Amino acid sequence: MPDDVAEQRWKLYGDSQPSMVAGGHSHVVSLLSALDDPRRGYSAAVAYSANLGDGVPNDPSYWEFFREQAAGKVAVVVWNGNQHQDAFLLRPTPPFRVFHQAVTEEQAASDGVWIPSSLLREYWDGTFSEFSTLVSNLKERSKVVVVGTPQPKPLEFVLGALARDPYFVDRARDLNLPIQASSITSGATRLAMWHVIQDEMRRRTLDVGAIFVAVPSVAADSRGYLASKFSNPDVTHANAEFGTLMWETVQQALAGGL
Amino acid sequence: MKHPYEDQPPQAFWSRSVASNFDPADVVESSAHLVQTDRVLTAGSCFASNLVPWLRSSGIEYLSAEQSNPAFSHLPNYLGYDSFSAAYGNIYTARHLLQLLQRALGTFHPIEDRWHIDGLVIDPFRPGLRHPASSDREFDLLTEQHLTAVKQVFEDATVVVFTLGLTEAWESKADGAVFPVCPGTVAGQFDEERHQFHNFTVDDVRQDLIQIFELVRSINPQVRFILTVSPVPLVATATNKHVLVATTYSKAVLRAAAAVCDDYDFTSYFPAFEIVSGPQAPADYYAENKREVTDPAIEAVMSALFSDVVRLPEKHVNSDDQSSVELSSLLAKAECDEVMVEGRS
Repeated sequence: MPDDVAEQRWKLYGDSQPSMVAGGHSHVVSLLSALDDPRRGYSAAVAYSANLGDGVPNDPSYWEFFREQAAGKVAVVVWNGNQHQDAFLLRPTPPFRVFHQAVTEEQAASDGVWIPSSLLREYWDGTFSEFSTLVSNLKERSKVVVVGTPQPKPLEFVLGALARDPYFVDRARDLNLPIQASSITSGATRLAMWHVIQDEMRRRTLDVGAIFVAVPSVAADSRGYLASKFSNPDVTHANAEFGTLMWETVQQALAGGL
Repeated sequence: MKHPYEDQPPQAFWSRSVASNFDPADVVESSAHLVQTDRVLTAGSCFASNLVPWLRSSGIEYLSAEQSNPAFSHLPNYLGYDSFSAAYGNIYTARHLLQLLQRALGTFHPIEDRWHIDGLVIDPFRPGLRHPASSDREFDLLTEQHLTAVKQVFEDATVVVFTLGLTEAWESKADGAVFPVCPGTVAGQFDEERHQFHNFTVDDVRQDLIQIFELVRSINPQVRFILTVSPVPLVATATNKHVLVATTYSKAVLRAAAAVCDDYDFTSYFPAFEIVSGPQAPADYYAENKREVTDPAIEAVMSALFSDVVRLPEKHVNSDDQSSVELSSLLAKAECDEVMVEGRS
């Protein structure tokens, strides 16, 4: 794609001479929204679709645009983070549960058989491999920080949000599932899957010599789900407050405070 | 006065039942036949996995407690863990099956029950599992779930078909826990301080089989057993004998031990070994490598076993998808972790 066309599709939001440039899939929008925070005391920008209504960038030219904009700066990568929701928010048949030490086994007791977390890692190997390639490429011209993606939301919240989400409503219709609690994978299993994803992202990030910034525990409620203070009204995403938290946490990490 | 052979039926005479007129179905004892209402459990060497597609297409219930979740069906699952009634994979020796049952019933807890390799926790008794645990606790949960499934299928079965494969095995010096393959071949590391070779005798295998019968019938008093001996030769021997001699010893021991079936009314011997490897068998029952059993051989064996419950060939050849025979071939070719011994030699 010619550069001028790419420039028309993608845009750098925020400071014109930022020290940090974030890019990534839909969860980067919380960092983008945080740029409007009047208290903001850091220099940052976000590479995203020029027309926000176009949705999530998913095109090689976007990643090249991000790479160019982040050259010589700190590249803050927000990669996927919705793969567990996309594949398994609606309860598969038969259901399954996944072990992670951060989630109590009692929480997961209502779901089906245990499946190995290594099975999930292979299931998502495609997106993880793309992630590793991206971070390696970015590292050639930027200092790379990968940030964690927001925790899943509690079942009671998801149920309400799901009914308003055309994507998941369509999916439920296709699967002939009513929008009700029994159609949703338990919060514990979604939480365990989220931890599996975060662990794998961390491992791959460190493998290529980049920095991984996990989501701080303050973002979680007492059960481990995304705290309501940081939650966007939809099924999966976090809000600008979460974006601010992550920008600040990235700064702490860069300053050696984490 | 007549001598004893005069009243023997034609099948007692080689000239009339082997040299000519050989029919594999004739060598099957009536007690070894399956009935339509059976719930069948299979275990054993990789040859045993050939039964699965035939059972499924015959309409007989095949017990299968640990199939992959359909959500992940596009991911490969090799070495046969999906090919048996629970995900125990290939069970080559009677001792291995006995200890699996003891573990499922909580009476045996192997000391060397896991290997930590590259951040993963490997099951020494299922070393080829594609998706091992990532922590000790996850290993415990997955193993407990597996052993519960093992107990469940042995409780639910009306017939257990066990194919004896080998007498040669590797075991833990600590407590005699038998591994399906030598540590270090499929996974793990061989350590002569911890691992030792064991070539089971007729008496060993016979006693193990008797204990297997007793254990299973303690939780499922009505269950029947069909024993077979795999016609597949050894990949390699750990003895100082030629592999052909070692194979003959192994199969002879297994065959002799399987005669324990004559002592019980709930056990039968099914002569798969004889059908495939006897002098009457066509030359094409073994592949060019003289080890791999070919599709015609498998079909002959399965036709004999299913002769009373399935009308052949209509039931098996008439398929829009991959035929049972093709499936059998694929299973047999793809899922013998035993061949890993050769892979690293």
